Amino acid sequence: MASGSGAAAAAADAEEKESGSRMITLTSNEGKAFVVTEASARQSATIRSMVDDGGCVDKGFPLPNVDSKTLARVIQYSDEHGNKEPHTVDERAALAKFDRDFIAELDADKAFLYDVTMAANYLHIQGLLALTTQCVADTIKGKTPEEIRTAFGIEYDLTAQDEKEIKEEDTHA
Amino acid sequence: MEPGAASRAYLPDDLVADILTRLPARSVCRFRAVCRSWRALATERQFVLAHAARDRAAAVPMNHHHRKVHPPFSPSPRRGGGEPTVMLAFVMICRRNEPDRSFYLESREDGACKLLGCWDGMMCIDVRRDSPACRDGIVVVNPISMAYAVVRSPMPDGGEFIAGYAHPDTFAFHLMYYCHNQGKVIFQVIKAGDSQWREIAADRLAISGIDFDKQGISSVALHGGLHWQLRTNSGQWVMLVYDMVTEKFRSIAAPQCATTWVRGLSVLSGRLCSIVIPESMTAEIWVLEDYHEHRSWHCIREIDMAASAERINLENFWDSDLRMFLKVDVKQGIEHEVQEIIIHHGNKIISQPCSVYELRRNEAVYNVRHNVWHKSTMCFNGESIMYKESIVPYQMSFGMKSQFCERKRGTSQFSEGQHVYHLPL
Repeated sequence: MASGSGAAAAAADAEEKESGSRMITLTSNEGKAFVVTEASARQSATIRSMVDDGGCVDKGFPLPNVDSKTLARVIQYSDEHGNKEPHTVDERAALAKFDRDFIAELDADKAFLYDVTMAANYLHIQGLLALTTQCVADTIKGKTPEEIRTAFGIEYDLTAQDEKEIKEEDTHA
Repeated sequence: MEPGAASRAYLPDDLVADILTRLPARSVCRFRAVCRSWRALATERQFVLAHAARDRAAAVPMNHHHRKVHPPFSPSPRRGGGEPTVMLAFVMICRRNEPDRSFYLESREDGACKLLGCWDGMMCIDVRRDSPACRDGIVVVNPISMAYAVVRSPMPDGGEFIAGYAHPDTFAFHLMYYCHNQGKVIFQVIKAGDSQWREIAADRLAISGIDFDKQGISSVALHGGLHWQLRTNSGQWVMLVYDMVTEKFRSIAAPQCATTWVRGLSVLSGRLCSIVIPESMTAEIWVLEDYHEHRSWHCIREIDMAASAERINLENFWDSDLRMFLKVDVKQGIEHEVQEIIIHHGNKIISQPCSVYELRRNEAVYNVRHNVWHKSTMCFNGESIMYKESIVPYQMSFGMKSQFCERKRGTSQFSEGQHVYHLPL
């Protein structure tokens, strides 16, 4: 943990010289530090409000609910959206293409997709959350209730009364 | 590993809710059978509202087919003693431009059915039988669950249905009927499943000069009220508002501007929006800036229609002898927002008549966002209706009187080999 913070501080210094903007350190639950621009970090409403409240910008932000692999991917998204502001049609198209490729890659690894969705929810990154929840919705929309229970490990807990109603709904629609 | 742990680890309730609001109505209804918590969640009032807000209304082409071909200019089914007629409605449901499914509604051989309107995801169909006549009624059906309720007309042939709505608090489905009786205007409302119509007091309302256009039964729902933009006998336009919770009418001012041929009504960025087609050939889009300040109507856009007619090659479209038939429809997108303005002549103008099934009419379509016109053609005995799927459970819509349409194999020339839902009565 200590070495992580040290490395983060050094990295922050280096980055700051390069870009000239304020840098923010995010720490995963494995203690790994990620240094990002403030613009990138502000994609997250959670971090934005902590920064604006004059929180511990220097000490960085520990994120106990996010592991390193997930955080790296989340940062990839917020860097793209926070550091660049699309002005032209081409730039907007490039950003849209980034989103498409980003989600296509996640879609291939469902467990990771859920991790990123959870992180986007925890960090309140609206754009990323919309992207990932829509992707989950598209994945499950054709499934049967049984397939959903298997996919999400949900316990079957419907009562006899529920089953009777469901049978009624099912046979006609 | 404890069963259920994975779901808690992966998807907390607020995320499940977010994901489910992004699903098509049919998937949401199916996933009510996943587990108790999903079932409860997908039935909550807040969830139903969130899903409706995210869902997009689709323009659904709908055709009434006759098994017996009528002369083209008398399409309405004859009653009593006429040829037995079956009208068949063909519906194609599209969502995000993907065809979903089509289905047919068929009345019995000795009857006819006609679409009255489609409100809050419910198809309201007038089913009539040649004998016995007392079996006539309105079938309100939700195409998602195929659940229906039957409503009897309060005064057959004496008035018309002007609106249907899901109650803003309970989602119970209501129908509204309007008629003239000895010079008096009478509004009546019924909750689907109830047997008695209730009269809504309208005598304190200055609406003596108002007549509902036979074609213009399009109400707009906003802030718990239904809105109609109507022309009084003296040529003034007013906005009639019906509060769905208190069940009271009131009237508010409509935009006051130059002599108007026809108007349309919709919602733009959460505000009432009136589309005015005046004699000047410059269409105007007006919005009510502050819903509670009736003087805050102002014009936000003027559209040159003379230029549009040339650009989309609609000859004679605006000719003065055809103007009286003009009608404005509004196609809505997400959150009931106005997306396209469609101007046509109802069923009055027909180009290239070949046979009764190939009659077409032209429409001038204006896209609000992109500020462009295009031309489209519409089947003569078809119409485009705005349909938005409803996930409201049938028990909420119709109460304990809910029934389900019977599914059969189609046998007519239009429905052969398809699933056909038979309408009762």
